[in-house]
Amino acid sequence: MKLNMPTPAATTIGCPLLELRQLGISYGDAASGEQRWVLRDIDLVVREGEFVTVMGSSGAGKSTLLNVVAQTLQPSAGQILFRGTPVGGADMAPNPGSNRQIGYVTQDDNLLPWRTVWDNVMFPLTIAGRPSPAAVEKAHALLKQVGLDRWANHYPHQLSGGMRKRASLARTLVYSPPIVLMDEPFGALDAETRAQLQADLLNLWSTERKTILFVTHDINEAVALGDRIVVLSGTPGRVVLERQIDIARPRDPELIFKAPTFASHYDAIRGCLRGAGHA
Amino acid sequence: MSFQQKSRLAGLVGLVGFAIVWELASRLVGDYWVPGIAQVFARLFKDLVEGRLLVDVAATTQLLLAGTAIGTACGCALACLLRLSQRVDSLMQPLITALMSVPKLGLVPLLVLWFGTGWAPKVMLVALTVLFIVFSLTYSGLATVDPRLTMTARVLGASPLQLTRSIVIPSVLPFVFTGLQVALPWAVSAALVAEYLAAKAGVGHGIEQARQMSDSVGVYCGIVLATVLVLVCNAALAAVRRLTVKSPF
Repeated sequence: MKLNMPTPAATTIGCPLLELRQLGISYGDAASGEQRWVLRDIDLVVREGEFVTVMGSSGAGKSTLLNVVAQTLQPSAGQILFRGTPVGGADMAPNPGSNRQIGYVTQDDNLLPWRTVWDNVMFPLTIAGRPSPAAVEKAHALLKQVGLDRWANHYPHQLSGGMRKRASLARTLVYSPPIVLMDEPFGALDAETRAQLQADLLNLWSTERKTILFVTHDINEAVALGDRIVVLSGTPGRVVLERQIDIARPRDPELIFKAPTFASHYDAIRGCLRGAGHA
Repeated sequence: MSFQQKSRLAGLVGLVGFAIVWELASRLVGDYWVPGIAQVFARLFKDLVEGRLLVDVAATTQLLLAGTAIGTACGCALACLLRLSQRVDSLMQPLITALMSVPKLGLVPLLVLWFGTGWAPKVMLVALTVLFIVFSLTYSGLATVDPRLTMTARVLGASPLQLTRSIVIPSVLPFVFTGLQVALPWAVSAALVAEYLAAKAGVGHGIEQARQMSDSVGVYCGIVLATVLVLVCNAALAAVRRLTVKSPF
């Protein structure tokens, strides 16, 4: 896929899209003293068009954070606001997919094995009713953009891991959610495929102008993709670092380590992760 | 020679081998114990020409279809009910386990006492035979529905009905079909037993009539018909499975 990314000046970041206020999630009963906090006092603002990468040591609650934002988990404390309107919180019953404002790409591709690639990509559109010709056209364009147009009639088990990820990404983008959550989507792939998919994602991001909240445990990936990196501490997970990435776009994920400020970002994040791990 | 051709050839060789053993057994032990193949197929042809064969097969097929449909519907519904409510599951599981262990064929006299000698007891016996097998498989199948797929569908905005249609049914359907494939020979046996006791037509009725007249050729004809019925139903089931279960595995 050809890289067609905007210049740094063209990358515009708008007003707050997603706000997490004092968000926390715990398991167990507070009354019996067995309450265990997984995430606590999370304050985070994600702006429209921003690419935020979330890092943290294992068990810091990165995936839990995305599940709470996707409303598949109810927070035990705090509030979630979307464009300034509360959409979730400790006092609101979770209602995932209620307004189709969120796209979620998980670690597994979660494609329906009994549907072809095309039917999987069309799935969100058929859920909403009969897809319009424009929506069908967009699905075709997205499949082409992710390089799967010739694989539309194949089943997921006939695709490679990277192709399944691409199909999953196309399925998420086809209904145009303003924000896309991505939970270590490329974690299980080999280095070459991962680099290609990172480049593809940056390309899609530049054309689709989505807001992305991207969880990863790979510092290189976080720096290569993100406008900003948020680091969560151990248990309970708290935001311990927010760092703006000043590396100009377009970026080449494979050569990101050659960027002049890469080393300083890498050291700061690594130091923070180590500190959090020992805390 | 392709793998499919080899399998077909192996099947044919198996059939020929079986026919040879049958014929040898007939010559060895005599017509009364094992009638010859030619005798059995001549009788089948005669029954076909006289129209009796089709009447019997139609009666048994009707019974089989009605009982299987009712048993499958009830088995699936019961499995869904138990999976939907933990409380109902805990309440009903011991009862269902107890009912499953009751030999269904032993219920025939009771069903005749309750419902007479009409269609109802025969359909009920077939339905009961199918019900518990389909229930077991569907109940297990419902546990295998991937929560990651349901989560994804929920995030995409799927309603409970859409979730059922697009995730639950395609996940469980292979289990239901496996249940039906397992239940089918048992259902045919149940239909035959029901027809032995109370029927005016049917393959089982034909076998019972032949037995009363010590007509071993007639009994063998019934057995062959029942076997063919199972094979045809199995092939039809496999075809329906191919059409409805879209999983390419």
